[in-house]
Amino acid sequence: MSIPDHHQSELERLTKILEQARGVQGVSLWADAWKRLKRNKAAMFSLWILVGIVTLALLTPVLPLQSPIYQDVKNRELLPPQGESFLFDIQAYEAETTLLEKQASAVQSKDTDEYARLRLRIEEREQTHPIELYWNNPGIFVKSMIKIRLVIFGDYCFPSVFGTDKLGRDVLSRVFWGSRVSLACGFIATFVSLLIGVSYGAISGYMGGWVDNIMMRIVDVFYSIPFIFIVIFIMSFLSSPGIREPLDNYGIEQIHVFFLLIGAIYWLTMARVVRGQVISLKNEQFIEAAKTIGATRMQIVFRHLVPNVMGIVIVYLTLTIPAVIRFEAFLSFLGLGVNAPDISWGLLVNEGVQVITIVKSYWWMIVFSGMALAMTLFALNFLGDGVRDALDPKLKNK
Amino acid sequence: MVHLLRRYFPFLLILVAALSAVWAVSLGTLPPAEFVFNNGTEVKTIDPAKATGVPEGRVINALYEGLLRSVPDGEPDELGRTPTKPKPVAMADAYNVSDDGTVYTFHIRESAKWSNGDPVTAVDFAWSWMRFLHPETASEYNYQLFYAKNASKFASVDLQEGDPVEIEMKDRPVAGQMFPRGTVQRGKLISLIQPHTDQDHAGEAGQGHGGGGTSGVAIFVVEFQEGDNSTTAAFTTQRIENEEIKSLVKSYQGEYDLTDLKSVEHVLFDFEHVGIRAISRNEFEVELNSPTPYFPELVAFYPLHPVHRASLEEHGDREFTKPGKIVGNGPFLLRERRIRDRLRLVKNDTYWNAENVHLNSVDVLAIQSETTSLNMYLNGQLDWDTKPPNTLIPLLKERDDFVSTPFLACYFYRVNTSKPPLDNPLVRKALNMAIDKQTIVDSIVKGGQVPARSFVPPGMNGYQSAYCGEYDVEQAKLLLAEAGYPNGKGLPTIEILYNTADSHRDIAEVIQQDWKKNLGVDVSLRNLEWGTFLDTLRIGDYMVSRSGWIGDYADPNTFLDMFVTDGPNNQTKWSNAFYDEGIEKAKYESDPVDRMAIFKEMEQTLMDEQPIIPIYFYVSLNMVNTRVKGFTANLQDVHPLHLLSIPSAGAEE
Amino acid sequence: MNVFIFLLKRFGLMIVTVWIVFTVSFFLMRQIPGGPFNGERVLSEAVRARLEARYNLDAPISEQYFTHLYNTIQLDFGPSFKMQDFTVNEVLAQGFPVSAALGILGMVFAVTIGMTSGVISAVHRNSVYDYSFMLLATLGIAIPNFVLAAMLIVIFVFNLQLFPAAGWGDISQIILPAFCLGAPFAGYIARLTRTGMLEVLGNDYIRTAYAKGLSPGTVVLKHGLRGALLPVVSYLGPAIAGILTGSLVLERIFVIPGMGSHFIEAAIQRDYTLAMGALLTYTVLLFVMNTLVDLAYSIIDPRVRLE
Repeated sequence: MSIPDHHQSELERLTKILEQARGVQGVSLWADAWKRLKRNKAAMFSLWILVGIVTLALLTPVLPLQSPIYQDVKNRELLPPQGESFLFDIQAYEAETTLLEKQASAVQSKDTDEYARLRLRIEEREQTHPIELYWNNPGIFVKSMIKIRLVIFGDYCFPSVFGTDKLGRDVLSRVFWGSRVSLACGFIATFVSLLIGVSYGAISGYMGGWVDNIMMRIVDVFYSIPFIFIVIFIMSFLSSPGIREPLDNYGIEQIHVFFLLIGAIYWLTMARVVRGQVISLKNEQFIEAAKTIGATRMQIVFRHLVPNVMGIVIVYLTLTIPAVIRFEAFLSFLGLGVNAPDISWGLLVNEGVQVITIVKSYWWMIVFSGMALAMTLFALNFLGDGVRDALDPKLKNK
Repeated sequence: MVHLLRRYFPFLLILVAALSAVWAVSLGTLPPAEFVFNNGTEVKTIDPAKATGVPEGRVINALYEGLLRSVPDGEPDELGRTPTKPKPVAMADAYNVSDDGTVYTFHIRESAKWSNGDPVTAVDFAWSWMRFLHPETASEYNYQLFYAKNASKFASVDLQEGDPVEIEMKDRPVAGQMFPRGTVQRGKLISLIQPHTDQDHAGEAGQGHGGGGTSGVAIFVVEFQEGDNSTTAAFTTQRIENEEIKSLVKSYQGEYDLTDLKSVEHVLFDFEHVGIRAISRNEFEVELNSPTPYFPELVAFYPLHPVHRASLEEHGDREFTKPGKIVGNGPFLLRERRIRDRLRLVKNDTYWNAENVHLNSVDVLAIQSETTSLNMYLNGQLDWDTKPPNTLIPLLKERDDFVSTPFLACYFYRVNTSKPPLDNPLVRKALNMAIDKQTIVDSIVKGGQVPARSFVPPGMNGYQSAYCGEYDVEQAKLLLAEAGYPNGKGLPTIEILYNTADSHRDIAEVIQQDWKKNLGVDVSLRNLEWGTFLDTLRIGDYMVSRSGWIGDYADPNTFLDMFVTDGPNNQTKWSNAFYDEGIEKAKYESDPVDRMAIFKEMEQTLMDEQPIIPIYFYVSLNMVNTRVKGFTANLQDVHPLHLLSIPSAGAEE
Repeated sequence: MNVFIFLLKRFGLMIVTVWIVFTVSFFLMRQIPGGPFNGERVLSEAVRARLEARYNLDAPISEQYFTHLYNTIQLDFGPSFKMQDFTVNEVLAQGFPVSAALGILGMVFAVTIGMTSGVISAVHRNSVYDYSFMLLATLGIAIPNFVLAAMLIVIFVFNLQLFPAAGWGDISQIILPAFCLGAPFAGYIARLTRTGMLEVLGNDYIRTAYAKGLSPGTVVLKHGLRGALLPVVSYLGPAIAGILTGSLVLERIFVIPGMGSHFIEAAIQRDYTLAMGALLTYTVLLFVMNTLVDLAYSIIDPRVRLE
């Protein structure tokens, strides 16, 4: 069977076009946005600052910092910033243990009673090891990081350049450890809001009709609920014995629930925005195409629609993270945030605000934690602006 | 129309904004008061019968006056504290006590007047104390008057057959208002019919202050005597249609006729048989169960201040406290009240001693933040700051407007003795000895507080406190080892509970470190806000908990009777029969020296068993403007407003 | 009449919202440990039972629910548990004007400062003014308002002694808290105004206006500002929710006896009735404000239709 001539030429023409198209290097939305973001100096600067802050927060346990929780009220209370370095007594402690171990192995074969006594003392010393005293129940991972730090830096600690607080604890170290909680709160909670908001918005937008109507009315209702109150409720609910104990058994601490709770509040705007985007996208051809090849509804929503709204979602993420960090600070200020000995920036700032008086202002208690908080929020905001500009097609050629 | 709106919308917006801004700043202002002080918090109520707490006391003592007043009196002791004594410089101008110490007769001064001009009489006191004890008032402090004969029977509706009773009918003149009461009939309870229950909860609840009482489903058969005739009638406080009452009537097989069962408001122990009575217009008598040496202190205590019956009955239980309606008998009147902002007090010209009240107006502020309060004080917005922040105390101490002395209050930790390993007294003692209380006092609270080696604060007349040992790490380690936990080995994590306020967290953190460092004990902290904290404490879901206690009067009893078995304020599950007996015995001991000896022995028992760990004794911390005269440091930290004056204020202007 | 149908719909939705908030918080409150009658001194069982009877807390929970709901519909929130001399209605009636005054003044600050600096930034684009204003705006957004309040107290109260440290009553006491309350929103509004203006100023009709010989001031204010108003008004909705939250903190720092203080204290002290009253008031307030913003939005932008 022969192909008619004009068809033949048509085929060739199409093949040619296809080849041409293959030759063109497609510029993806992301690469394009990245290019534009790189040109925005403020945003790039913010990005580097953030990368720095996050890295420092992650590396905190291996940095030669003082203990964030060890108090020395007698000698080091409310000291102003200073350059005198500080030494731990861990090596001496371990040396003594090693000495005991040597003694023990020396007498092992001769004097079993003495050996048992020494072993007992060694065990006891494990119990009272300074790591337990200087760091608050570190997990296995953090503990091994601390051990690495001890190997590298020994007893050396960076001086209290940020001063000390009213219990004689090093503010520098507390700001660093506090960054871990605050940032974790910002990122985890935002991630939760992302999960809820994107799925909710996408489903609502895609389904349309009465489902959409009901789902959006629910969002409206939620918008009018003063959430701070609900948080107060739930935080005190969580600390009640009947609830706390089963949660403890699963290893869930109040602070984890706290993250989730904040996340669960911040999904509303995300849901609205995603819904709007999905509605405008759902009649596009690629969705029609997906339908014709038999994709299920869920597949369409999560495999085809959601990736296409990621741009706007990322813009909102950069706005939600600072909002969440600020909200955590706000709750800590009201005394509803993290519990001692956990540290967050909000808690530190609140402690700082309390010692600002006419008589004497212990400025270092507020300045450094406040600056850390403000700098992070500042950088996140600038970065958010930059990302928005970079992803906004209207600004493409400006 | 819409178009027009659209066009002028920006201007409209500006107009609305401007108008609301004008409205916002034009909210009423008060002229400044002569004397302004921070009371620390919003007072819950200014009704003496319902109030509890120190801030409430400051206001109620200004608005009302009892039979006696606790005033600073006598020479200051070695710490510069003036003792306070209850003295008849109030509504009573004299009182005497019977030889056996059980009958007090107060003479009310002729010049005593209410602010509306009515005279204050013994009847006012009898009525006010009746209201204070009345179960429907549900006064939290009513046990303070249980020393009076039969008072607890009246307050707790603790009735037995044969008791005289008063029955209040359901004919109250104003519906839903407790006073004026309905018609009251008096008779004798001849039969009390209650459903049979397997376990008798009433008896259990009857322990401690308050008592359980006869409540719930019950039928009272009462005999009325009229001359030689006697009639009987049956009453219940439930509704007649109540199913349980119906079945109770049905199953009743006794001799009395229940067909005319009548539903009434209350069936109470007859108040006329309670040891509180007005003998004449000016003479008021109180008969006590046992000689109670500190009874005058209680009489001076603000819950026992009288209220004005006529205005209360006219305006109702809540409304009568409102400015404009309130009728008081104290040195000051309530002019204005703004919630969580201020109470404006002005001088009461009908007060019997008005010529010696120097302040014309006083503002009582409700600032909770210590820092803000201090800032306002230093800025000249306050004349008296009741709670300067700890951090700054070393600096403030140098100033001559800082007034501070130890007073009758103790900061301590409760230990839940039902939770292993804390059920072991050795562990509790070890924990006590491992706390460096001196450091807490020096470095955290800083106000010159005294590390506590006993529970009862020093300074009570004729009392020598017990002793629970110094800070001694080696001894503590030995004790812990003796208990079977050498170096904290095998000991579970101990949790310290505290409420979110003040320096509780700082102290808990220091103790956490002390225990960890000295004993190798793992300690976790649990922080609860006030409401949950109290509830958790009450149900006993804690291991170690921060607590504080301020003595109600200057007698060891106010501290020690807390820890009797199942006492409502015990909360440690600690129970010691020897201790219970001793505290009870002290009530009836009339010799002061022997009585104090008993108390000392009991306190030593408490300290040996250590269900509580005393941390420090509070000191009063006041910043008072030096222009204020008449402010004396004293043992109970009471500073009656009517004794204060500002010399320059009136004289120079 | 579109507007009436819109308002009617919104009203219906508000009722549903309020009912949901009421129901959820009613049961949540009773789940939480700690009752309203806890004090440092423990009550005897008899007194506790009497108090519970007085406030109808001894009835079955369903009965309590319906009684409370019935009273709430009649706008009677009952007596306050903790402030025994007042009913909840009285407490709210005293607190609301204070918070409203603070909130309104904060909003006025936010809008005036925000829009002025936004317009200046847009007109003098890429100038020193523009950069410094935008830097300040971002700072305003980034610094939590209690930190800002602490800084301003140090400067204006301690050093310059211009304002009193705290309290409520006269104008000098309102300015500092209202400013702190408005600052983050001023920052947002400045940026929104700038962006909105820039978009409008690039349009052809602006060029036409200049060409007609209108003065730059007229052009900017008459045409430019109108374009900038749209995003600002749409931002007011979330801003109002933020103002409510922010006032909780500022009322505490500056000791302002507004609803926010009542709200937090009530929740912490388990004052069920007051907490409920305040919560419902906030809910209604938020709803009404959101509706008003939507309405305003439809007025200034003909393309927006009420639904």
